[in-house]
Amino acid sequence: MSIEAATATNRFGMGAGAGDIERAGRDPRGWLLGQLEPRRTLSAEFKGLPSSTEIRAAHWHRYGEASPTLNRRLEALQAKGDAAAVEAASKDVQRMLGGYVMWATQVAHTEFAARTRHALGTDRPFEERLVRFWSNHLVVPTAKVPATILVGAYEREVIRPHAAGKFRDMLTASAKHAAMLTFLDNDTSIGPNSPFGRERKMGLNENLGREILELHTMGVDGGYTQADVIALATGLTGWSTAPAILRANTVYASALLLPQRAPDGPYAFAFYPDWHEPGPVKMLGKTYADEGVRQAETMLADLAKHPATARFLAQKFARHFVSDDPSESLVKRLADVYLAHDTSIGAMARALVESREAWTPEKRKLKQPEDFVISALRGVGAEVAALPPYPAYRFDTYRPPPGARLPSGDRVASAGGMAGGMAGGMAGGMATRDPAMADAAGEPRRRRRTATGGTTALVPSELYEELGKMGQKPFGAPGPQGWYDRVSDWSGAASLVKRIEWSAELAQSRANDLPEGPRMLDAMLGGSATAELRRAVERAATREQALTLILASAEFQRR
Amino acid sequence: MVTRRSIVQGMVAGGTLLTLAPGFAVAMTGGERRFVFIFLRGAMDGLSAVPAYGEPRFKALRGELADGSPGEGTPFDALKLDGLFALNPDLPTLHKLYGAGELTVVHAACHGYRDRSHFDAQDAFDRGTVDKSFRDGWLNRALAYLPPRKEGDLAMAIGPTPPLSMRGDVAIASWVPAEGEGLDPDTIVRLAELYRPDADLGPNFEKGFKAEAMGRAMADGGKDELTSAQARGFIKQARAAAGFLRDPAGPRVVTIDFGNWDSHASQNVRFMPGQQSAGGYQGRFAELYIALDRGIAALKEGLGPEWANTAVMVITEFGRTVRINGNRGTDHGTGGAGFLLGGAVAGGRIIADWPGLGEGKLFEDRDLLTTTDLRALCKGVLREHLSIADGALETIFPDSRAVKPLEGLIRRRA
Repeated sequence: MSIEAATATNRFGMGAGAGDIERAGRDPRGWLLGQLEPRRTLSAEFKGLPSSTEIRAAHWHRYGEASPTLNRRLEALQAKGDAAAVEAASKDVQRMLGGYVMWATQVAHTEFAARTRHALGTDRPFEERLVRFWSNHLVVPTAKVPATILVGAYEREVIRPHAAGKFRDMLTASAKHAAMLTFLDNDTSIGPNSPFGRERKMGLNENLGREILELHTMGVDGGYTQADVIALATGLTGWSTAPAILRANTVYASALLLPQRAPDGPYAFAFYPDWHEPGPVKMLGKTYADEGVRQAETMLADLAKHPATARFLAQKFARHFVSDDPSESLVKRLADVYLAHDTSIGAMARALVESREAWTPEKRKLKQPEDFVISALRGVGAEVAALPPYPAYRFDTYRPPPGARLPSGDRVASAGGMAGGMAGGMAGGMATRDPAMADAAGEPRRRRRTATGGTTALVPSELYEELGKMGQKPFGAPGPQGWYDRVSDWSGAASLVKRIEWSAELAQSRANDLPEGPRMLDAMLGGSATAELRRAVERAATREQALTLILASAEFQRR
Repeated sequence: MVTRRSIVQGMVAGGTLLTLAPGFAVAMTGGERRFVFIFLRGAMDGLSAVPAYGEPRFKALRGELADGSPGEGTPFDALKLDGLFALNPDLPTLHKLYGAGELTVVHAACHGYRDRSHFDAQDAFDRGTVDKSFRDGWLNRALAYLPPRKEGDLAMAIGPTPPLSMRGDVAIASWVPAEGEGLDPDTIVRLAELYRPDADLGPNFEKGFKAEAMGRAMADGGKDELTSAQARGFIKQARAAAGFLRDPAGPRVVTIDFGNWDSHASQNVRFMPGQQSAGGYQGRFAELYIALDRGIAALKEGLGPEWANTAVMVITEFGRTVRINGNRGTDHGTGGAGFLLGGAVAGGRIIADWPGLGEGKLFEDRDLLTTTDLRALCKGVLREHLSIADGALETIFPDSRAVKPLEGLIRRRA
């Protein structure tokens, strides 16, 4: 059995399922390079999911309409001193708040289910790895409202179309996406000398400008200064969304709603000329004339093709696929190819596949938990249940799906609880950890699996939680730097134990339906398995134990 | 159903490699010192944690973030420390510790790193140097100077992945709250064989299964009305940390990472109208302070008599801008605040060579000027609390000769 076929599926792919190693085996490099050719059709798993503008309409409904209206009503009733009416109105406020939190959770779970099902079913796993790499590079994590609800749409709209395309295009699309603009606060960054800035005495927020330089393009050692950060942030003033919500005051209820203009349609990117700081800016020694939105577009294009950016991206890319400390020659080659092909990350991926260093039999990288879980699920042919596309959020009609879980792990007791108003207020009152309540919703507390055509599928919300315990909550990177990517970042004992225990649970859940150990080993690791692991699998007491040994082994954790 | 506990006992009885408590040898002498390092990641706003309300320009510069000035009866009415400084109103436990002489505030402080990148600053602090050629952390290097143990790890990182400060040559334990049924012991033994040759994963495999067995007993899932999982998680981790530290055979150095402090916008959002009666807090940043405060309370309570031997250092990567930004938040700055607290601490004071907030006093006209290098705090703690010799401090913090350890941080032992 060819080691290279196993390497192609594991190091560059999402792990091998039945027949994958044979398919890759005829021409492992060709199999990978073929996946860099653009395919214009959208994966079936993403059909029906709302676009970011549709999702933002719900956000607007929550913050721009429902919340101010309800709060104004509440304040008026409080002023009148009508206790009963105040109580009823308070319940509405709580229902609006809690329903939104639950809806946001539903969004995250549905997007996670779609993305995972795509990764399990795709015949282009290398392309999927590229998507996930770049998604982590220009990351928008679930850390912050309102970006939380957009992370899935962001990946579908910004990352997927460009995963093997031009970095310049991806960078610009990212900086213009509502998810990134709101995550890094540029949606309300206003030139202090712009007409609007003068009138409202509002100013610059340098967050996005800084992170573009530090994390998206040149890297922290790329040679830029604080003045360059300010310059880019200044160029980016007026890059916002339509409408923008200024989270301005001590309470959201009195958030100042900025003018509703939508040059590119409602809820999309908007450039507001009267927020834009007038005048030229100087970044990295070059002066950029004030041409409105063109000013920062030109700056981003220049940053994308800066040699420091090429180096930074090449280093990170090689580190992800090859080893924590890739050779200088590999990094240089990738950077050169990137620059020679007009910031093509597809060309960089091709150069990686064609390099010798990427094919060493020694497995120097460790799978991150989400990749590990997907490779295990592919390995055993497991399915993750599909979730229906989530509805739009309207506070007065939204009903969370029974058994839905909050990001905190708390579970919704039942949909009926929503309609009846919520005791306790806030998220804590809407969900329960109380076992009796959970049972009332018909939920056994552990390992519920739904039946799909004879075999069983995993429940997305549970898998989502398991990944959190392994240290990698889906879409939940610790910050704008994304997930760290060295072996030592993922080899910690606690995360390792979780991955091993999960492997055993997966094996247990499939115990009745397993081929012989060596056959499973061949399908998943092929010629790359060591003699020691093969012997252990042959000697396993049961097929279930053999599967646990394979999935939990250090060899399977690595790639 | 086999429980985790019975599996572990079975393993020990079976004479496998996974021996358990009381496996940690008592390597240090009685009254052992405990050290907890809490890193608030994301840059806590030092001037909102410890507002310098007595500064004439404080209100003007901070706008509505200055609502915490004492004596005005606002919801943000802060807890007074002295005529210049107060504590954030959501830090009552810390205020009590200050009054009891068990908390020291360090202000206008930062470490050697002077740019404003979170990630670089965190790494620089964790490495103990801005020199990126160092791959290990300052605390791990410090562990090498503590009396070694025959068995069990001297230090433990709480959380799924150890922070850079704890990475290095000295092996450490790590732990996160456990759930589930776990593996059968036979599979653990077989897997252990397979893991042994892997230099990165092998040692962690063994450690992980040991710690899990111990930790299971210690993390008691307290209920909390805080809405953010991170805030609740910190309290839970602090409680478990106390359990590990109190164990005669447990670790003596523990790190806890507490993230999400990056307050670019809406920093003072605190209560929802109509929510006060329900006891619900809304607002990420208020929750973080509340969780920090309750976590410290849980740590003190859980440590019991060992609190007297404990020092807890709470720091963040840098402070934030003095002025409020366009979004009622603060951007990345330089000088900030930190805490040293615990029964072993000679507290009740504020260590600050206070630069002031007057015209021309701000660093680059935006940040609180750094006048205390946090490495001086770390060095002082290592020297006085963990009895690490002066010479070693230069190895732990390379190129830091000019940074003299702070003195008088820790109570003299009777």
